[in-house]
Amino acid sequence: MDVFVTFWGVRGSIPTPGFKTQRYGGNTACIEVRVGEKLFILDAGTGLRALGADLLKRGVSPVHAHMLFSHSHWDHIQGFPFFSLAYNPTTIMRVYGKREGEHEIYELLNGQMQDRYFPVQFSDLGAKILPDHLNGGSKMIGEVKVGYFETKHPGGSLAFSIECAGKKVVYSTDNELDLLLVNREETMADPSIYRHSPPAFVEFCRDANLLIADGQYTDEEYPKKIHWGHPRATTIVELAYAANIETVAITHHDPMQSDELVDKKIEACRTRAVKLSYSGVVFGAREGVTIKI
Amino acid sequence: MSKYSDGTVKIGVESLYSVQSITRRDILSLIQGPGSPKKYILSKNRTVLGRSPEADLQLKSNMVSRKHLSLYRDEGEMICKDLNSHNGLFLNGIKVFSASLRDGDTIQIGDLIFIYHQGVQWTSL
Repeated sequence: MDVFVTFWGVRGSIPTPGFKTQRYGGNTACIEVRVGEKLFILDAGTGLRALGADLLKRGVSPVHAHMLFSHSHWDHIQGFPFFSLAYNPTTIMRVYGKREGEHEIYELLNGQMQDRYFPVQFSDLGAKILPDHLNGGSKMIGEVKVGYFETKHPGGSLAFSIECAGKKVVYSTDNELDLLLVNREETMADPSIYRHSPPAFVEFCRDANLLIADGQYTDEEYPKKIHWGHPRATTIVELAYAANIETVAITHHDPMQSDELVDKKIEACRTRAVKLSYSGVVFGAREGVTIKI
Repeated sequence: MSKYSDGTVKIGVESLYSVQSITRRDILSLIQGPGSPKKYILSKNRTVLGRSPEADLQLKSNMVSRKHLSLYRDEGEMICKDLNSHNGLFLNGIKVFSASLRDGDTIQIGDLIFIYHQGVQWTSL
């Protein structure tokens, strides 16, 4: 079964439209994963608006979307009220929490549409929006196995794995992996030494065909941004090497990074990959690109 | 220049109209592989590249599928899409299924490498 992954929003923190970011794009986090007929939407940043328009254009109807939210910070939920299909009565959207009865994200989506913030109320949306859960670890959704892993971010964040028919995609955004490194102190003092990712997270990511990972900062930017919730992009290369990842998409680009700076960040990742003899592919996630797995 | 009885002077009307007739002209430059260098103007809304005589741009390379790649316009953007080719589509060195193109992007199919040049879009004066 073919798996298609489309990047609709790859920017972190705040939308950054404009000339300097037009190549990689300025919309915040939103990734579409299609596994056969199943549609998974990873985060609902401003990229979600364009995904909604594209689903309409493709004539996908009725839409049954499985919505997985890494966390509820603005750049991951802000597109939700602008998802045109949420106004369509034939649409079904399942919003997954970690465990049964845990509806935090569902309730926050509702909350951000209070009349002080937005003119249309959550209760007025035509779609059937249902809270669901991942059984405290993983769940089969049809023939697709979806799992989560709790990661490092102020307020918490989740990474997700989506597996089907021997294919695996991992999405790990807003995860300050540098704070979790086994040899953290040494790698801060000397960024050139190998960075040992936590074994449990390496196993969660293991053998993914595609790892989409937060790599917001360059090595130069990071020392001023420690505890802001995002890693050095180069740290992701070492995770990919340890977990035997086929392809890595660095995402959640910093809003201060122009296209040229993102290029340099990715080049630094590739240089690090060469030093590791890592044979996987590393690229900068870019809006409008679809990968087939 | 035309002078009217009321004193109005019209200057360069013809040239203004010719400017109006200009639309975007995106160009695909073949920079490497059989037949290079060569430039193709992408004047149609949809252009199929491949080895087949039925392709809009017939390419002379055995590493290219008969219908390898489609380039089409969608709301002002140029999209490239793999037509289930044997050797795939590479955008700036990364294997992709489809992508919105940006000026200066490199497209590789088989042993052919192209650069996409986004044209200037003119609006009515």
